[in-house]
Amino acid sequence: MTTFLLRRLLTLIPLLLGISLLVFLLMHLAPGDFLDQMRASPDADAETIALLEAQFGLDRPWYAQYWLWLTQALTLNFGESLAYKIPVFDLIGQRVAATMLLSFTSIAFAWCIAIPLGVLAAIYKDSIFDRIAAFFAYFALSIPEFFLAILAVYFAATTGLLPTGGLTSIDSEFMTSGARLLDMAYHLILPTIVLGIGSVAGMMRILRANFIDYMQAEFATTARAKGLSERVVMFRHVLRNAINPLITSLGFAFSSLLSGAVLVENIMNYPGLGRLLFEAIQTQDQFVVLAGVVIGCVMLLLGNTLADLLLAWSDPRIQLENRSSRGFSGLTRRAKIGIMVTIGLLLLLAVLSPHLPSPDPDRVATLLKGTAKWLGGALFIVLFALVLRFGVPTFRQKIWPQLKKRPLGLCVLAVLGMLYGSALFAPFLAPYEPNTANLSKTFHPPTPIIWQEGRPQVRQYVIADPLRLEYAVEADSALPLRFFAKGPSYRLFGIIPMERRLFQLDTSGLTPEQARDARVYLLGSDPTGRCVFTRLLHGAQISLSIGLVGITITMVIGFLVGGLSGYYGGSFDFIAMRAVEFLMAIPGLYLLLTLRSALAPYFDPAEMYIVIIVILSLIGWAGTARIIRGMSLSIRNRAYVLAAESMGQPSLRILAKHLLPNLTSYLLVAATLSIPGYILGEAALSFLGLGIQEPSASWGLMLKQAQDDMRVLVLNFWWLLTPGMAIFVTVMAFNLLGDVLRDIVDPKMKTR
Amino acid sequence: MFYRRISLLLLALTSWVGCSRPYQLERAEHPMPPGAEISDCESGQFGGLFILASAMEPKTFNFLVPGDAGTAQITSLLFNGLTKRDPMTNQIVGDLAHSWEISDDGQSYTFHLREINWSDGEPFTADDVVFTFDAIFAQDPEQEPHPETGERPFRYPSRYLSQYTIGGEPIGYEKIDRHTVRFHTARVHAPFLNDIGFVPMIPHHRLQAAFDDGTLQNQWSTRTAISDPSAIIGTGPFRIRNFRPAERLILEPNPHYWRFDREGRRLPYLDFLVYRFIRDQNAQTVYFATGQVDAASVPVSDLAWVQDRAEQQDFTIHERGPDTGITFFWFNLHPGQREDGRPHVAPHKLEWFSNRYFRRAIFHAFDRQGIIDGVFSGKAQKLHSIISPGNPLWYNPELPRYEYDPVKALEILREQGFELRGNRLFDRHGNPVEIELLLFDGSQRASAMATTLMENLREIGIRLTLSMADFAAVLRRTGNTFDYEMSFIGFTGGGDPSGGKALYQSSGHLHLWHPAQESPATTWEAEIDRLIAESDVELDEARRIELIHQMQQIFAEEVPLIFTVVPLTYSGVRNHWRNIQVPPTGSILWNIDEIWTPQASER
Repeated sequence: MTTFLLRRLLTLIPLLLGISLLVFLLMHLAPGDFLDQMRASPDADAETIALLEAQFGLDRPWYAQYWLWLTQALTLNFGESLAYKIPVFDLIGQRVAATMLLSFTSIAFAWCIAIPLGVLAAIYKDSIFDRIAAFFAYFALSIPEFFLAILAVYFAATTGLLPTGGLTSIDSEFMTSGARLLDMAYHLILPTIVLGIGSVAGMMRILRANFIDYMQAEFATTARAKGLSERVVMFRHVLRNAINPLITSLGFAFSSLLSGAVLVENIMNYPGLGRLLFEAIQTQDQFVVLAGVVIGCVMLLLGNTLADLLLAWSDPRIQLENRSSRGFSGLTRRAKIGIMVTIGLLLLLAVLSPHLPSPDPDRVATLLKGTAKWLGGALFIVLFALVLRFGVPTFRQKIWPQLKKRPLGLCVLAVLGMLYGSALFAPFLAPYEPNTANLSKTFHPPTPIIWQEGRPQVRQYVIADPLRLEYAVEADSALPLRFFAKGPSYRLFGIIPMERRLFQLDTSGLTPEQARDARVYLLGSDPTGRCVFTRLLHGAQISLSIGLVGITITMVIGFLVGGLSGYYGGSFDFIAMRAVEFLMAIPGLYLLLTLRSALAPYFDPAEMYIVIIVILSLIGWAGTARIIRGMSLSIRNRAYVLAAESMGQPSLRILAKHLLPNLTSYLLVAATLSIPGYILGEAALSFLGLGIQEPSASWGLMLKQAQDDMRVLVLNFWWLLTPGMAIFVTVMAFNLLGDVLRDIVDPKMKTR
Repeated sequence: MFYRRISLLLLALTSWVGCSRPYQLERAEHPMPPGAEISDCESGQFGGLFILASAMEPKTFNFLVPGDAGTAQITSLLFNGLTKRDPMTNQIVGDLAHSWEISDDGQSYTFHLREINWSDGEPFTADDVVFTFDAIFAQDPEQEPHPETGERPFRYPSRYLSQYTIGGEPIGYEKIDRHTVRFHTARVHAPFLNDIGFVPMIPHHRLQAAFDDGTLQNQWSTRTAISDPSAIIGTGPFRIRNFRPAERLILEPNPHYWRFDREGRRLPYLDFLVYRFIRDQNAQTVYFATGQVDAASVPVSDLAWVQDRAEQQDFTIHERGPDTGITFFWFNLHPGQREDGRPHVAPHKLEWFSNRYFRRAIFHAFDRQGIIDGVFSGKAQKLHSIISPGNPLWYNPELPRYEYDPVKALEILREQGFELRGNRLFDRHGNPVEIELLLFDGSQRASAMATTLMENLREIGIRLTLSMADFAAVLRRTGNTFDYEMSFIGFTGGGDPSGGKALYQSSGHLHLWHPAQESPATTWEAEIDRLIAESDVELDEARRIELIHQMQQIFAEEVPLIFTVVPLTYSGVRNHWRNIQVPPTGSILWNIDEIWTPQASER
């Protein structure tokens, strides 16, 4: 037990070294530093800024700064916040309690809901209750956390039933301690639900599947035969076995809640760590960011350790010492030496880098862009070929015949087809260009289509009260809609020049001035009078394709790395898996934010699309590689692979000819189930204002813009939140499709 | 049985919770100090809890740590300077100094300090003033002295260093007696009385030890405010009672405050002043509109729906007039070259940009009324000067104006040799007029203005393309690499125009169109430099105003900046608060120590 804990702690050291170096490097890759804001203010002169640079050590090269930090960190001095002038751990200590509290309550909430629901759904399998629970699970899994948070705040603000934000009310200052606790609990209700509900769904589904499996297990039958009551069998025997995977997930939940609360904390004004770190990343308060990431990693490791201990306690068969578990826990000595060597090399690089030429931002930019474009293009072509070669036949032979028999699967496929179709034909379907503004018609309500004079017509509105955004119908202003009419020219699929659009306003009878102002807004207009319907369609192009492109890159890298390391084993496997573990040990959202702030300045906002894909795939490939490695490990020893090997086929050929076809269906399912992650990732980044930028449109960005303007919430809540609904529907469709496909490919994992 | 147990439990809980009573502040009785000031405000009564929302929380309570607006807002309640500007009359009045004399040469100032006490009861004296300036100009003993001057670098870099370096030398200060200090400047500095009020006085008796052992900058951090708020000693109306980061700051009256009402009661009337930290501006507005906050500024966009709740929540929204900040577009006029020998701006484009008539034509083509109507719901004004009309003391209302007139714009361009062929404009060398506008992302208003300008310029045949970039990247490109053609920025403003030198003077680092010039590149820039320099040493305020008016005239004639619009500002306060005096600019709560409520006794 002690050795187990000790070993865990030891593995932490190289991990933290590597991660801190990486984060530091990323922060210095971005031009600018903490003093940027000051440089832009008229009352700070150059000399003061130079003095401050010297005081903060920002005038030194990054490796010198890192070295200084590292040597200080060895004496447990992790530096001072540049903004607050206090040790970073003091600063984080001020906030961490609130975040831990929220993590704890939301995990507890998730468990308290998920276990009874999962058990009941398993016991009353296929009943109406099971169906409702399944529907709830899909719903909870698909609704973006930040969208739910906005809805929650809106609910609280309009009903007044619950507080709209914060952790305590002002009156609590003057309350007795008991009342203070109650006050806090009252404030925790909404954030707990918002943060916990996503994990409820996942846990419930796992528990249900496991529970069903174990209900038919031999030990359950034995227990029943011994005459134990059904209740005892279910709760003493079955539940205890079925709950194992949940305990394992606890560790992960623990750490992800710490970093995953950033969005919710920001929207719900919760005084936690996430807000502090988000600000620190934005203002480049470097030591605070470093400390935050370090704490995140430590939390992950502690969480995993805790999960292992709990698992050992709940399942006596599991032995701590021999268990090779997730993360860095199960490292052999060789592994540790390997990591030490890697870190050593990195440090050597750090020491040598003064002699390397300093990076010129423009050169870095071209290099980054070039790499991204070429690599992305190459990967895309490779995958396209692979899909044609293996994906299509697999789909036609194995999946389609089954899918045909499932109405739900067909339905979902149709929905997705429609979504992607409208994204593909967006310029044709949309009546306007995505950026045609009309400042005299901001926040225009949706215009109903009326039937008049035997054809569909649209009334024109004029603003009656600019402050209240009230519009009045213009008398005799109905304009007919013309279908397949000429509109602004565009290029369909980016190549075919076209002018015809699905529908256009017929402005032939108007003066040029009036014609310029006339609009049809199917879903209303945004703060600059742009058509929300048009932007939703154009936004779909970005939001929907980001998932596909991202998953393409992830799957190719994941397959190559995972497949090769599973097939070859040995040192390739070793290095690859350490890299995977390294990536997985960094709290996801922090890595996302740091990567973004490092890369974004080198790209035009129009190219943010590439940046987001690069970031999401960089983070995403690790998990895929790990799963595929496991699968190819098991296939490697099959007779046909051995036969191919003994025939002297080259290994890449074996990989392509024998491994890949066997993995295709799994890859397909995995891809379908991970696309929502990309869509949500883009939405979250854009929502934080760090993703897709104007003048491009994406659903996340549109949702942010809707949330930015209070008038939307107060005056016209629903129709500007359509992007949120669009994300929700898409994610839900992918989740459903993924489950249907999984049922087909792997009937054992059946969830319904 | 079960339900009975539950209800019993609930009952127990309610009685446990019910013990909390509204808290009343116990006020300590301390004698009135000799230097006390009697306020001539209407006398009120003690009590009341005033709640404010703030987007930024204080990052420090130590003036030597460069803070931000959130920090300044709180420290102004805890500390005082020697002088301040009365927001109602716009005159400089005494704060910790009750009077002063200026020597005949205008270079030395003698301040007579109030005989009052710090919030811990210790007397405030000239030693505290000397100590404060010692701290600003402290040299770092760990750094090598400069080989020629023997001076070491300053220990605490702050904006005060440059503010109080006049004519190239730090101002001199000396203690004359216990309540008199004298300052000396190397040359006449007209805004001295204004500038000297910037720095808050800190207590010598409390911080000397930290000054000696070099930890002064680490004192009075947020950590102090959390664990030991009573350690932070000031002269302001309030002291810290409780600080919860990211949640709120609760202030309570300073028991030794030096302002009293006519009936001899020590101000402030309020029992508590609470700042809630709410990052989201929208959420702040909601808090005010639902009565959870007592005063707030209301953005133009939210005016209508907030106003709808005025009666129900019993508050009034005051129109405050134009904002003090300015926003503008500008062209890159930097004539220099990059390292590789290429010019920063293509020569033919630089020729357009450097032509004042070209810039005027752009101004004429810019439909700012459209922006006012569309983006600001009509609640904004066109900006005509580099100083906002929200700063009426210095604003010059009689400047040439460039109203929206595309026909006139084209006329001016034709006179300058430009030619409209079809719907595209060409210069006299036959180059099509195309401009790239570098815009930082994230601001919807900035994008709306840029898109409007883009549409407007298309009407006169100019193609404007938008290039968005990260804020840091915009700063780098406009301030270091000069690799752009046109850009957009906004500055907050207000106060004495000497605070805007970095923008006005040709040597300034924020002289955006051509920063940090060694010597003025154009005659009009030289003239502006001369006006600024003259206004710096001109003691007669009327004459200074005239000089600043002349400076604005030059900016308006040369149009290096294409000004946009300035929004009107609104503040709301709940009606039960008394003694609210709405000043033309600045915080509506400038006299927070005099504010009281008749409802306090009912609480």
